[in-house]
This record gives sequence, C-alpha cells and structure tokens, in this order.
Amino acid sequence: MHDISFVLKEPSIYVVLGPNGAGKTTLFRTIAGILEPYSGKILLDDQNTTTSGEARKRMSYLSQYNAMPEEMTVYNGLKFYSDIGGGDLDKAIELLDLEPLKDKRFSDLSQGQKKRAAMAKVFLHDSDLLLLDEPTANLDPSVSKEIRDIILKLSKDKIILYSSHNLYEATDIGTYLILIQNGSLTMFDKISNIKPKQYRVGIKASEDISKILDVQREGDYFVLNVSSPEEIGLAVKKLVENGVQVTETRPLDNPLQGFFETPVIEAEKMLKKEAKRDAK
Amino acid sequence: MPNSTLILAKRSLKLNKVNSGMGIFLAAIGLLAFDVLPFFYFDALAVLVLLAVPFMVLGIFIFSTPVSLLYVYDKNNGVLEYLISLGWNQGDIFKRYLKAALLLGLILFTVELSITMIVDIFAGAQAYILHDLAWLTLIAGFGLSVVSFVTMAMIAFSSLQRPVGGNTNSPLALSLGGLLILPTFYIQAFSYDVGVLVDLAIPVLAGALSIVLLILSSRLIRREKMLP
Repeated sequence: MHDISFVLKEPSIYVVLGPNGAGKTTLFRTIAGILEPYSGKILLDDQNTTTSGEARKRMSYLSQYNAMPEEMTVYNGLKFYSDIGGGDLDKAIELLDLEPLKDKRFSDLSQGQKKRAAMAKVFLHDSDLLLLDEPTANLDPSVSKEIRDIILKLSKDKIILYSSHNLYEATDIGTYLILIQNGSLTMFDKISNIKPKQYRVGIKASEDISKILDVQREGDYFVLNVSSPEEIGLAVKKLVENGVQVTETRPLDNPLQGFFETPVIEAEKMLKKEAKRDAK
Repeated sequence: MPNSTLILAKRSLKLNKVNSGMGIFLAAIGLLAFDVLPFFYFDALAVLVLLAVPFMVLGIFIFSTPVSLLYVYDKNNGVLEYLISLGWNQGDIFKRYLKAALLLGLILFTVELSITMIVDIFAGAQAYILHDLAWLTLIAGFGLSVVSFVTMAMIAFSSLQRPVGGNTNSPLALSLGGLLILPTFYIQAFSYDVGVLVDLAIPVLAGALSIVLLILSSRLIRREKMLP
C-alpha cells in the first residue's frame, strides 16, 4: 500500500470501498496495529496505534474471520476475550441480543448468528473507533441487512471504518466514502457529494414512450440516460403533458458504480494496447 | 490477563482428545515398564527402565501436542489476529502457548511421578525411591525440553505446517519431536551405557535448540506469520 493519508474527524460511518485485492484488509490491519507500516504512522489522537497498547484499547477490530473459539459456547468465547482484554460481557450480550444463543456452541450457529456473536466482542468495550472489515461478506441479503441495522443502531457517536466491495451496501450505510484502488487512496469524500456523470433511469409507463423521449426498452423499463437529476423531472413532466401515466421511476445504476468500472475499462485498454504491440 | 495460559491448556485438551488420550496411554505403558514389571522381572530392571523412558517421554510430548494444534487452529480462524488487535504482541502469544504446552507436559509428568511414588511406598520399595527420582528427573528434563523445542519450532515455522485435510494439520515440528524421541526406543538394544548416554544427550540437544530458538524468537516470530 502507498499514498494513503486521511483524517477521520467526526463520528460517522466511513465506508472503505474497493475491489477484491485493493488493500482494504491490509489498511484495516495496519490501523488496528496488527501490521506495522513500512513508513508513515497512524495516530489515534496523539497515540501511535502501532506502538501504543493504550491506543489499541480504544479501538475494536472485527476481521473477516469470526475469530471466535469455535469449540466454546458463545458466552464462554466472549468471556475468553473479556478475561484477556476486559469489557462488559453482559452488556455486549444484551446489545447483540445473544441471550437465546449464549449457551450454544459457536460451531453450531448459522452464519448470521456466528457473525452476530463475533460482533459482540467488538462491543465488549466502549471503543472510540470501530474497524469492521466486510462484516456482511458471505451473508444472505436479509442477514446482511440485519447486521447493518445493528451497526447503525450501536454506532452513534463512534467513528466507524466499514469495508465493503458492495456498492449498494456502501450507499446504504455510509456517510463518507474512502475509495481504495490498487493499494492507494483514490477518493475521500461525502457519499452525498458524489455525482455520477450520467444517470440511467428506468421508467415504467402506461404506453410506449419512445416516440416522446429518447429511450431504449430494457425488460419492463424504458431506460433514459440524462446528465442531471433535474432532467429526470423534466422528462416525467413531458410524459405527463403528453397524457402518459408514469407508474415508476427508479435509478438503474449506483452512483459509485463508475469507480469500479473505470479501472476495468483502463485495464481493457491496456490489454488491447499490449495486444496491438505484440501483433506488430 | 488472568489465567490465559490455563484457558489455552483447557481449550487444547477439549479440542484434541485423541492426542491427549494417546499421551496418557503411552505414559501408562511407560509406567507399567517402570513401576510394575520390575517386581516380576527384577533382573531386567535396567532394561525395563530404559524401555520406560521413551514411552513416558513420548506420553508427555503427545499429551502437550494439542497446544501446537490449537496454535495452528487459532491462527487459521483469526483468533491470534484478534489477540494482537487487543494489544498482545507476538511475544505475549508465543509465551502463553509455550507455557500452556509446558503446563500440560508438567501435569502428565506429575501424574507419572505421583503414581511411581505411590507404587514405591505401597509396594515396600522405598529403597528405590532415590533411583526412581533420578530417572524421573531425566524423564521430566527430556519430556519438557522436547515439548519446549517442538512448541517453539511450531510457532517459529508455523508457515511450514502441512494441512492434511479438513481442519486437521500435521505440523512439521511435531514430526521433528517424534524424530528426537525415536532413537531412545531401540538404542538400548546395542548397549545399556549407550542407551543412558543417548537418554542424556537428546534432552541436552533439545534444550540447546530451544535456547537458540528463544534467542532468535524476536526475528523468527513475526506478526504477519500469525495472521490467517
């Protein structure tokens, strides 16, 4: 990793987004003090997280692995960690609603229950900074939503770094976006500030609208490409004025999608260039 | 960090009952040769004692191996990574797993010692208590030096562990431990003196290797190697 520098000032959810292999987990491990940076430093207030045990006690890290002793019951597994690092075990069980599961062996739980139990160890302490590395990876959509709701409920007044490679999850939960590509930081901004260059909008209407607007038919939708949200309003107004009944409009792309497409397009361009060069 | 060594020792036994059971079985064979058979074959006392040593040492070693397996298990499922994030450093982790392995070895040795003393006292063989204590001291030194060497090697070279299938692992260091004890099973067939010499030399070698690994531990044992 290189060229990464940012400051997290206000309590909020900062989504670290990047494709697989971009360096999200390495970034989290470095912030958590698990890996030592070759150069540079990570400060929590004025304390270096790599060298200061005190700083690390102010953070909680949830890795992609559940990191729970599988052979233990949920209660004993959490007690194992609270005996080592302290914390309020009963409060964590209450917060994550683990009372019905606490006497079950961790290995006997479903994936969603395992993730919930693993998350409880993050809430053993009242940490200032939570590092959640892909907490919903490999979970089905309903369990992912449940986990995100728990995080949202428990995360007030905390700084949360939340990694994901899911664009929809990022826009759903995040306030800020930290974009990591090829091991470096390529964007740090409020998600609400991120405007796509083009909006693709799906319109469901009572009749064929291709004679009124420049649209293409894709399944049940007429797809309209515009460059600003205002143009969507104007298009709908035009349809209504022409006596068309509009039953649904919905964005078809995620505003963050462009960040993932660009490197692929660039990579394809490079491959084509290389192929041409080889052919010559 | 209360009782973390004890917790690791308990977890090891719970996770790998086969190795613990095998350790007890081997120790029982050793105790049979050391404590019981000499009453029936007194003339073969020296040979029986030499035969008992590898079984009792192997028992101690095998009984402690669940800690090495637990280390690999904890590494693979992210427990070690989480412990580092809690503020432990690689040295803390190394020491606690080593202590847990030595604790298990010591527990089985204490059982071996207690049974031998009880048999000596109740069978009226008090005259042999000093003789037995001397041999048991050698067995303790031998067993615990092998345990410490294997556990340290296991942690230092954990990346060399070889997955066999599923969740089971056959760490390289465990094979090294077995190789260290192996000569003591047959060497007495050549000569009693050579047998005693080998029984004394191997713990010295294992102890020396342990000290070398301990000195090099800060270089060999790195945080990256503890990540899943």
